[in-house]
Amino acid sequence: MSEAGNLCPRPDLLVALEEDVLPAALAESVRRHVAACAVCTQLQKDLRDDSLAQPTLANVEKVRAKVFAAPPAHRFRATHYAGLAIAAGALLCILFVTRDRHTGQGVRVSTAPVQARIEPPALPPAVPRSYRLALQPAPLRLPLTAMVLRGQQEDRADDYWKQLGAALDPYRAGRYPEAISKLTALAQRFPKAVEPPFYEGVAQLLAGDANAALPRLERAREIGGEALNADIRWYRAVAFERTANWMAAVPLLSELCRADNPYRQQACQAASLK
Amino acid sequence: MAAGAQIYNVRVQEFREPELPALGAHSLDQSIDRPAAGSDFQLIYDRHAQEILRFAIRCTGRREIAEELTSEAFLRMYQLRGQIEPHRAAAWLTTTVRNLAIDHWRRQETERTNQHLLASGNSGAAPPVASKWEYLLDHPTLKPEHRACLTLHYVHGMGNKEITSFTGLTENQVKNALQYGLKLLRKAFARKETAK
Repeated sequence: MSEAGNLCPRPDLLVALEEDVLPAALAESVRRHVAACAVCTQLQKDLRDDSLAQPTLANVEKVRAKVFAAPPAHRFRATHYAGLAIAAGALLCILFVTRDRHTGQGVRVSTAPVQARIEPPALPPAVPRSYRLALQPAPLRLPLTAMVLRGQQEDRADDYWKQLGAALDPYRAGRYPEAISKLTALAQRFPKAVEPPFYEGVAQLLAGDANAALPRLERAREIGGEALNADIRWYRAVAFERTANWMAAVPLLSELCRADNPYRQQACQAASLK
Repeated sequence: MAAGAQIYNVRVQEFREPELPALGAHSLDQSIDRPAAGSDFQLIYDRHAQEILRFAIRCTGRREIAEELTSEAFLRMYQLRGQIEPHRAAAWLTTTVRNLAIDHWRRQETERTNQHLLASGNSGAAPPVASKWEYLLDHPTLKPEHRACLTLHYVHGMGNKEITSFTGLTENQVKNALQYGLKLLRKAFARKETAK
């Protein structure tokens, strides 16, 4: 805990302190403070976490745009100066040639090499602007939950089976808002069943709301379920990509790429694009 | 990833950033004047951009400055293409970014006084809920991003947008983290009242 009157360093200083890039006196004063302040020590540790230290896809794209499209100012200046010099040279040549023709003297052509013009790098056309992960409706798989329940709570299992079928009808027909509301109700009634939150998450994705899909898919992951394991991973990766969190999608794609599952080829392809 | 940066740090001990030739002094090969998709420069960029950007974020603590330094390093490398062997690209870029970060902090120090640099949003005074702050720091269900958002908001006085830009989290994630932290604090206060 920081003491009153003892100023906490700016958080960027806490991060940079660890890379040894701060001027010595400043680094020393920050280090002294961190040693005495539990809040700053904890913040420094938290900011090292992968969830906060990774660049976002937006960050990477901004750098790409700067490198390939907008060179720094001095490059512009150099280009301008080079252009002016070439133009002035060309003008002088024309004047000399014109004057020599009038005076009848021979034309002397300079053999010095002309400075090549520096062109700014252009944005490569291959930069993928569209999403890399294809979004298809998830295949309907046998609800194992109902099978597990059968024999123990048969009535409840039958009820679940019927309701799930009814909720998945609009999903199959592509009426996603209707499917979402039915699956939400089903998830509340059967909180331990994995299918309702999973298909609700996929329906949210298909309806174009990746932010709403993520917590539902996360819930499905928490509940778990062998049959839907790979599906849950894939659609979470898709949701992360759609919310511009490519860093979170990559580990999921790597896992899918390593194991045998229906998404393997697509996952390997997408992971290699990273 | 942090390990990757460390590896780079070890590798770059032997490196010194080469002097940049004056612009236009080196002859430019017209055929590679513009990096095209699939060119060596594009491949190097795709392979290292993310890693180098992360290292730049570690060096500067601010994403917008890290973006500047990373793009500057890649542009310098583009000017020196042909002089840097591809297998040394990562180490060269890391060294360049590190040197640029050192320059950045030197400039910061000369522009402001140390005291001003050290001062954060609310002057580092004890957080508004000081008695419960340590409870929050140690709470087992609190993830690092939650805790960082709470500290940045209550200790450093950052607004949601500022936290978003600083951490790279989305605005929704920041909002949720702050709400969740407040919920935990309320619980802690309620428990304290009950104990009384």
